[in-house]
Amino acid sequence: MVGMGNVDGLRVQLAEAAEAAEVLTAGWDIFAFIAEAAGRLAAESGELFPALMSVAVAAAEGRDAVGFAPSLPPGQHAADEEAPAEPDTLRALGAMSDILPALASQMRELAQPGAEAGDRQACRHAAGQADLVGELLAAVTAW
Amino acid sequence: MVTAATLGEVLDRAEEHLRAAGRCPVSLLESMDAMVELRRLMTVMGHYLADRTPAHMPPAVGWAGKTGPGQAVIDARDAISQAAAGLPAGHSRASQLRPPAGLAGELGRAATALAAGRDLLHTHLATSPDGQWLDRSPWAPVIRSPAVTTAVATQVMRWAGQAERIAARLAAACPPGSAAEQGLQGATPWLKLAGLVLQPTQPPGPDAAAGKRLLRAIPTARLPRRRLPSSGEPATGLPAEITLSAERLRAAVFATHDHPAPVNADACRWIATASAITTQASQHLLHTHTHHPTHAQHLAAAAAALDQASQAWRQAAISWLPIATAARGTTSPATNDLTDLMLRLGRLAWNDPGWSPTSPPNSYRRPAEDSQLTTTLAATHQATDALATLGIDTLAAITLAAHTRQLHVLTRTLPDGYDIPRRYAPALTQHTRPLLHAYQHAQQATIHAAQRLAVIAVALDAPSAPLALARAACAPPPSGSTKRQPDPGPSIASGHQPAPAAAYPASAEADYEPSASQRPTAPQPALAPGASHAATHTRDAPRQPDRAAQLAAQDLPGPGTPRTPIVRTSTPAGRGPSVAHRTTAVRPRAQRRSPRP
Repeated sequence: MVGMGNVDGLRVQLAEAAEAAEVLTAGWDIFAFIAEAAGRLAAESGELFPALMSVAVAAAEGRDAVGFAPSLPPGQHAADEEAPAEPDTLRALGAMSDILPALASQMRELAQPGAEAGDRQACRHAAGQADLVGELLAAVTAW
Repeated sequence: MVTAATLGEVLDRAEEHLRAAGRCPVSLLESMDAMVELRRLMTVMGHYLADRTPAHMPPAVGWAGKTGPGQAVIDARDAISQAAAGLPAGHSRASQLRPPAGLAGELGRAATALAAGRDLLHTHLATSPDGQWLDRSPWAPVIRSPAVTTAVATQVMRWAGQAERIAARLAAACPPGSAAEQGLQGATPWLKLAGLVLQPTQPPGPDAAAGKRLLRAIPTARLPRRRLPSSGEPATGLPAEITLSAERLRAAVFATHDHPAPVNADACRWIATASAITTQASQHLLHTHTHHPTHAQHLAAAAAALDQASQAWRQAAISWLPIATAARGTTSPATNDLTDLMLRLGRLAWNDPGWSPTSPPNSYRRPAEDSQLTTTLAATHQATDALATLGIDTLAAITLAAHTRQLHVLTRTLPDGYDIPRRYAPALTQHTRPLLHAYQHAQQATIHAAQRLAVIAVALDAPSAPLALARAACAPPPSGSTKRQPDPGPSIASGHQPAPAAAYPASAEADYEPSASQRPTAPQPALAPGASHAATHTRDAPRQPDRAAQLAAQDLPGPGTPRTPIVRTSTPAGRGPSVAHRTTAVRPRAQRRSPRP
């Protein structure tokens, strides 16, 4: 579930997303990925808990902001696979920080006045969370 | 408890003027004005006592009835009223905006200061349309407590003695046989009687000192404004700012106690995370003092309790990650103040004015300085107590949310038998049970840590000692119950020290089993058993947490359990569609498809 392959897949998924539903789906998957990866690392970590859990909490908030957007199509996130080694997860999280500005930008585009009110609100919230998660990840990966 | 103007500061001013009045020469010329002001002083003194009588105060624990100290307060109030009745009423020159110097002026200023002190106490209470007192701040139950009543009685006894001596001096200056002389001569025995009546209510020395300290620490109910943490805050000022954030956090919890907002997963995740970090920082701070020559063992035990609390909050935070609610967003007064608290404690603990949760792990430990022990202890005590207060209400709200099916989970966390084409589904018992257990453990561990810190704070006379005294003041009296209460660890207080932390609700403490490292080595007679509704942050009215406690004692419902409309479940305006809109009912696949082989 958590590995560099997932990061590449999510990057492509976001880049190819054109419709609102596709962007929302990509956003939900990205946030869910980060929340899970950071949360898993935080659970195993001692001194890194404050930083990693802050990332996980912010990502989970973004995930749920998108998760309740009216235009998000139904569907499930993929089932868990075996957890990879910690360095892979950390590297994957670091790589995610490159994707988040694009996600925030696309979410802001979706939050334009023409969109449904529920989507607008969800996307504004998600865009802010994408910025925040990006900042937090950048701080963590800069160590 | 040092963040706002306190009653002690106001009473100090009154005492200063009373002492000055005692030194003023008495002249016949101003005797009439002095008598008017003396009567005003006595009237205010009587009001202090009238406020403590059962007719005015809701029955406090062990205080109702016509016997005991309650009756003494009533008798003293009547005696002071009789003393005042013989003196002339009205307005003297001393009642003017700028009273003149001299006896009348000093008495006038003393009466005004005492009235201001009484007003300060009343900022914590309001009156309902039907005449009942209503709590307006977390301090209200403390003000209504027997400990504060006893402390007020002690003060009034002193003031009555001072007034008696002034009345006698004034009487000696008046023409013999005059109405003024007769009025003053008539007042002195009543004032003496008031003092005599109150004398038996006085507790032993250490308790009297504790009561006086508690009384003096009562602040005005108006809370200081939030001060955002800045990277320029000097380390020496951080403990005071931590106290402010903790006070504000307690007030925020109090404000939403009777009207809780729907459970919000975003906020809960952050609260659990920030609580874990805050207790970790507190543990780090205390750990640096565990070489203390006399209190090393107790400080180490408190640090261990904080470590347990931190671990428990971590588990609670992680348990929240796959859970969602309809209510979203992390901005609220409680989360704001908790974030301030976490940042400041982190900066104090890691000696980094710019510390934040994403700062690199720093192995540098702040060097322990014994001169800073009490302020460090107070900061950790204030923070841990505030977290315990927050945890009690949060657990109650989460318990209700779990039982009313307001919690949702990612569908991929459901067991294999469920096939739901949505991202969220109502949480099952297997999701909510670990969450509630994690919260119960976190909350109980935090209370346990707060109890340990309270005991040390009282013993070391730390700045947070009034907080411990306030908790003790609201503890219910021993009821003879044999129910086991959590143990704060070996007592280091004298036999007269109050049990500082017995004032958390019983539902929060029940069945807490400390880890092996936390188990006390000696019994703790100081703790009052049977803690229940008289806690500092409880009200007289029926409370939601009581219902929550009942629910917590039951098993959680399974997927098919019908909803119970215990709390409002509507989605707040502007929050978007409800969770139910985005989810489908949880039905095992077997109900819709053919059963699996």
